[in-house]
Amino acid sequence: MISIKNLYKTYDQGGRKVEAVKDVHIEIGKGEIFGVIGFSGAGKSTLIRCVNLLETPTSGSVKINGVEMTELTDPELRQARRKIGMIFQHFNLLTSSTVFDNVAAPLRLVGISKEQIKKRVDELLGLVGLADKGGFYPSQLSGGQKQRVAIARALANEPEILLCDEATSALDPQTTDSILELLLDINKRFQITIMLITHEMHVIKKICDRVAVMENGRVVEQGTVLDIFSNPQTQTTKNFIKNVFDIQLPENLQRKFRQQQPGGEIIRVSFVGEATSEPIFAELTTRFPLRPNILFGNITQIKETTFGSLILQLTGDSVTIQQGLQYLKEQGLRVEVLEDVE
Amino acid sequence: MLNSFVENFDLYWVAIVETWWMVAYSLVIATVIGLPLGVLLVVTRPNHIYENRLFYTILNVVINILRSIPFIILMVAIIPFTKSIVGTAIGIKGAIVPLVVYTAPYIARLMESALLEVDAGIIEAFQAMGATRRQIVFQVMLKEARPAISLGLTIATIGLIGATAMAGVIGAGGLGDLAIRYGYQRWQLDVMAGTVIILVIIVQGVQSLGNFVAKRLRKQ
Repeated sequence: MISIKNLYKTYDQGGRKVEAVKDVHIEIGKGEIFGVIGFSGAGKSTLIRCVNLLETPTSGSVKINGVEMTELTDPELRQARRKIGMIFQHFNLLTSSTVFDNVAAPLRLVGISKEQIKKRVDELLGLVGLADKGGFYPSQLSGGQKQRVAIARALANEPEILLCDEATSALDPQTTDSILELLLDINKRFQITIMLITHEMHVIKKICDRVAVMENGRVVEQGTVLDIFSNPQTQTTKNFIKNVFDIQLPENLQRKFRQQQPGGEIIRVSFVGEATSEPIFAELTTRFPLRPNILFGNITQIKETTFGSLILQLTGDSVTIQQGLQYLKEQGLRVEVLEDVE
Repeated sequence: MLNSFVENFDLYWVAIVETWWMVAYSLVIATVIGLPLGVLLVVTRPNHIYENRLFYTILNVVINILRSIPFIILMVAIIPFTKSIVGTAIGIKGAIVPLVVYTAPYIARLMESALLEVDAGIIEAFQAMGATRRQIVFQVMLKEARPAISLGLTIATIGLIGATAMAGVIGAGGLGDLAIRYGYQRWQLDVMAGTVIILVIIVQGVQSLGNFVAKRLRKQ
């Protein structure tokens, strides 16, 4: 659906070259929700604008349904953009137009009959839950409602792709969740591909299938959200995850437990989906002469899957511990022995 | 004071009508010229939809030059130009040309600042939905800037009323001319006061009308 290869974007800022996007490769499949996370200045905003050519890439390729976007003529590009909806952090609605006229705007650009516009706009406002707000002005709406108007507007031309530029960053947590649910609903209902950028791991966790982590213009890590959560590679990713799902045992506690019970191992066990509901640890203690002491645990939902993590101390002789760890792995758990802290 | 006003009513009335025609003609023509120039000043600047550095720089400088010349000097300096356009350099007709040359660049600047107020994000949103550059100018920028445009034109109108006072020099009459000739040169203080009061009322009225229109356009 969206295929980004070797993408570079370099700005010339007063004679100084600024590489906003460096060597990015991303493949997004049809119907997928793909998130890009990074701190501000990581280049994610530039990256998402390269998809619909609001920013012209310095080099590299952006293909949508096999069509190379960077080679399109102006009229072709406008045509292509009509099939790519976009929503923004600050909504970007016409302040001097009503909700109805805002949603009708993209339809008027292409010249559809009045009756058809009316029908389509009413349908869209119903979809986003603002059927009774057509005559209101944006200034009379809350942030969440404004974003709903923007979503309706973005969907007007029945796009195949929806680009979300920090769409929930200006909203409070509760409103964020309701907008994310709406996006998820739209994704399921219309099989629309969503690419979003955010600096909130919560957004990724809630609706994304896959995620890319950006830092200094590069994608430093990408994969399914579950993989990234259960096995983050870079410090940046770990920091992002920590915000929504803290699985770190404070260092002083780790040290304390090691001193109290030498000879054991402190391990972290991560489990996904089905494994959560099995009494694995009960089995472990009956099969092996091991005594697990649960120190810390956390469980969360990643999109529709449960994801949990436990930190526990296993005491017993080292051979049995190894057998125990092997058993846990066979049960489909991810096991990680925590290194001794200095 | 009131007696004097009634006695000199015809004098005032003629001056009001003269001012009205000068302002009305000049304002319409200057807007027709100044508004597009204001649009051009915005859209040809770097990183805008019709970016053109050379054009933008030249237009910018020309407008600055015209804006720096005091009206009274401009009026005299362009007499040959005025004659070539309306056939005369005196009277209301002769005043309209310099008034337009004076006001159009002013309106261009006012429209420029009004259009710059339009949120760049809204323009970006319309680019993203496949709008043409023309659609962005007419359906986004000019539409969103309407309240600011109306306030800008109000300021221009009041400036224009001020400039017409000097048009008396070339025999165009008007309220300013009345105040200078009768009020100042003949030292008829009642006429001077009467003219000033009329001007105050007109300026108040224009500003209130402008504010009202802007408020209506802004709606919420």
